[in-house]
Amino acid sequence: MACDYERISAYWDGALDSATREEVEVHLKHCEACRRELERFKRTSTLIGELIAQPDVHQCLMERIEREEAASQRPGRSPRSRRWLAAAAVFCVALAAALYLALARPRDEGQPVTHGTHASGPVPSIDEGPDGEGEATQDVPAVQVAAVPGESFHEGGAPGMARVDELPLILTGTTTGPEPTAVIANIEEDTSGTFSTGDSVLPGVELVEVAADHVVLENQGVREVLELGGDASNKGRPPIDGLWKLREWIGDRWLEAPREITIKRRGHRLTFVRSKGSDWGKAFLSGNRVIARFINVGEGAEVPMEGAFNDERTMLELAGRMRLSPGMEPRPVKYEFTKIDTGPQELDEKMRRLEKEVAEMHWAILAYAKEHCGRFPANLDEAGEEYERTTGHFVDLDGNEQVFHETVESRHELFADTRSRRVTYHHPTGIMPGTGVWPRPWPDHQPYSPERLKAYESALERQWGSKFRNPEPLLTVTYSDPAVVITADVLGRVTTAPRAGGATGVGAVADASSDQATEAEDMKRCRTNLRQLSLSLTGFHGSDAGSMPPGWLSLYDYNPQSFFKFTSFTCPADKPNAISYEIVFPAVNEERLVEIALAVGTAVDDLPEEQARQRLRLLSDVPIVIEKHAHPDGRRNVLFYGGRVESLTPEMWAIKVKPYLKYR
Amino acid sequence: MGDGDAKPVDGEKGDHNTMSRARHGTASEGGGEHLLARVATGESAPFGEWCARLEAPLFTYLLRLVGDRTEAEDLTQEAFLRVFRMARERRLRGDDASGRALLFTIAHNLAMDSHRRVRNVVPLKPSDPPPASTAAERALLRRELDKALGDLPEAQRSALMLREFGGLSYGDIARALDANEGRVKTWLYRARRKLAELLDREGQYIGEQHHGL
Repeated sequence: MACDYERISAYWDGALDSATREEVEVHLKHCEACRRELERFKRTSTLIGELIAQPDVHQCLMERIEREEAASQRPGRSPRSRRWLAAAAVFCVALAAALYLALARPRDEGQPVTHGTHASGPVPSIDEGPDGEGEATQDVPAVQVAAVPGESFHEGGAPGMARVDELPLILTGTTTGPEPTAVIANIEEDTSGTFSTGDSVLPGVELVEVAADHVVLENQGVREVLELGGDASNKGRPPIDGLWKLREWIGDRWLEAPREITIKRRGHRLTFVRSKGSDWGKAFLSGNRVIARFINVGEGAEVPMEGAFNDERTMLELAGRMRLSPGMEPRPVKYEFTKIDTGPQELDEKMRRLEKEVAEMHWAILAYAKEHCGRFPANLDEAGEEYERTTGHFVDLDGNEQVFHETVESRHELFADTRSRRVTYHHPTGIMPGTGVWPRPWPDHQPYSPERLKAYESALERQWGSKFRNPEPLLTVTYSDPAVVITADVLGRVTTAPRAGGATGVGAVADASSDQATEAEDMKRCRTNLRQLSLSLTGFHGSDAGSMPPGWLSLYDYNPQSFFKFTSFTCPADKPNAISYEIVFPAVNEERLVEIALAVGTAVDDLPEEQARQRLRLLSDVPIVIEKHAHPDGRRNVLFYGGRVESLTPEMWAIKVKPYLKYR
Repeated sequence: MGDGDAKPVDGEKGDHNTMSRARHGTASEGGGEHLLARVATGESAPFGEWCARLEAPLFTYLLRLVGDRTEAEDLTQEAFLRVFRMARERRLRGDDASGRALLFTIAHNLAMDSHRRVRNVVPLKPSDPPPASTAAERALLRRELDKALGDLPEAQRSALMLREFGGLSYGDIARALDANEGRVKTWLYRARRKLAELLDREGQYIGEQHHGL
């Protein structure tokens, strides 16, 4: 055995099977170098072992497990154990002490108290048992970490607890007149209500007076003014919706890598969404002021934060206090959001969404036609029937693939006109392509035959071949914002054009592709087309047919629903809607392709007879799809069996493609 | 999941006449002790025992991935909690060794997901309490090693630590890092090689002194 240190390393890890291990052991007896190597590995391991550091987590972890255990054994809100009662008693004492402190120091040390009877946040200075905190988690999840003095907005009715501007209330509107009313939102409860004078807004907080721009609340005997909430609307300012860059200050330093967060605004409400799509926080917007709550992952609780936008609403600063790990003292934390300027990108995204919307309509009509022997619906109302579509798949814990099906009950909404769009349906005649009306040539494990495939292709040709070459429009949707007209043809190809007299900005974006497209770009997109076609071809080839499709109609018919989402038959340098590509060996199976490859390969290279290993290599050089017309620079794109797409000059074409063409 | 269907993960277990070492933890986990299986039956005490065994290795692993003590402690807890939940909901298969592999895999993924993950780790902060040292030179050497470990390519570092701290089998490491066993083997060898070179350079005499530890 030769020296193989990698094997020595595996030997040291005990990762060898017994035969190899014996071999190594024998070798080690004779080989000084390998023994030395083994010694070095041992020494390294020993030293690494010494690097093990002791964490300070055991106690805390055990408490958390105990809490989980307790939670799982007590589903819902069943009666409390006596232990909890004891903890609660401790709490009451703590609360009294806290209240006393709060009264003595009105603003900064205000302790949180929830509505009703539950004491909420643990008071940091008091050594509360795990049960106490567990209780808080169970009952009032929002306030678990809210125990930070002065940062909470979970106040309620306790006397002198909070000033009006600390209450979770926003005055969003007033009406004056004989019966003045005020619309007040409770951001804590996420509710909004209309109140008249004398009504109780919160326990212990009464509305006493309504004026045009403010109301007077009596908060435990003290009258205070709540002013009309700032304007949450965003007129004349860049939209809040969109991507923001987040930098975090965690007490002693800025975290190095900024994150991207999506903020969504709905009126006064903001939602913070992480890049992976999970909600991370929510907030209320009043003027520029923002009151937010974020989920603290480590703690499994929510953290209140407060701050404001700058006047342009391009920056948002929030501050609060957070435990970075359970059991630690809360630290001051700052979030600094900066708007990422994504003007055109946002527009682009919106356009893609609209196009998807139209593609979805095509999809629904296709589903209808499939159920009705390929017949187009007479109108959009008729298309309003149930259909099923696949929305996604995942792999479950047992490793099985699961598919979600979403059944959409009614398509009426899908097609309905709204304020921002008008949908026109052009009822085409004949059969809708891709509905599989014609019986497929390989249904019941019949042996493959090129003839059947070709017959199928010509049947399709008779049915809707003309539609394929000159696709009729199916739907025209006119949007007002952005001002575009999106058309879907019967094949599901979606095209976008600026609306006549529409906004110039959008027009420019929509036009840019055709106007500014350079030859190089055309070439690139053409190559992309071929690459995507290769995926469809692979699918077809891998199906029961087991061969090249007999023509494009079969390929389209094989999977019409997503075809044009990814693929195009048209090179951008070619005429619109032209079929720019050609299948070199339609309806030919792999055996035949190998024969062709061998014939050409042997002729060109005089390859040896022993072909088993050469077979794949030869096959991969067989051109599968070629471009009919050359690009302006004389090159043509070719897709080879191996999946490569090459742009061939006429000289290379003569070498790489031409020899194959005579076998067609 | 059956409590008795522990699958053998350590192929080399039970071979005595070999110079290669026993895995970390296998000694204590041998003898068919199924701490995790007992969690499913409602006991949580055995889990505590299991945690106590693996806390330090796991923490050390995470510490070197995220570079921050607080964060590493956080993730350590989170990883244990997740395994605990799985054990309690009877979603765990296999014995404690595969539980350990799962724990390290979860921890690894958590660290990768962690937004506080620091790119290209990070020598530990000097403020970290130095581990109790036996000899000044050895402590020095350890610091060098620490640094060298940080300089390794990420995959090699992860593989080596999963092996050395976690005692995971090659197969488990491969699953945790989403690679195949052949690559794991190569990574481990390269990582060791690099560290061994360092030791040759820096600590020849110390190494000799502690030969055979």
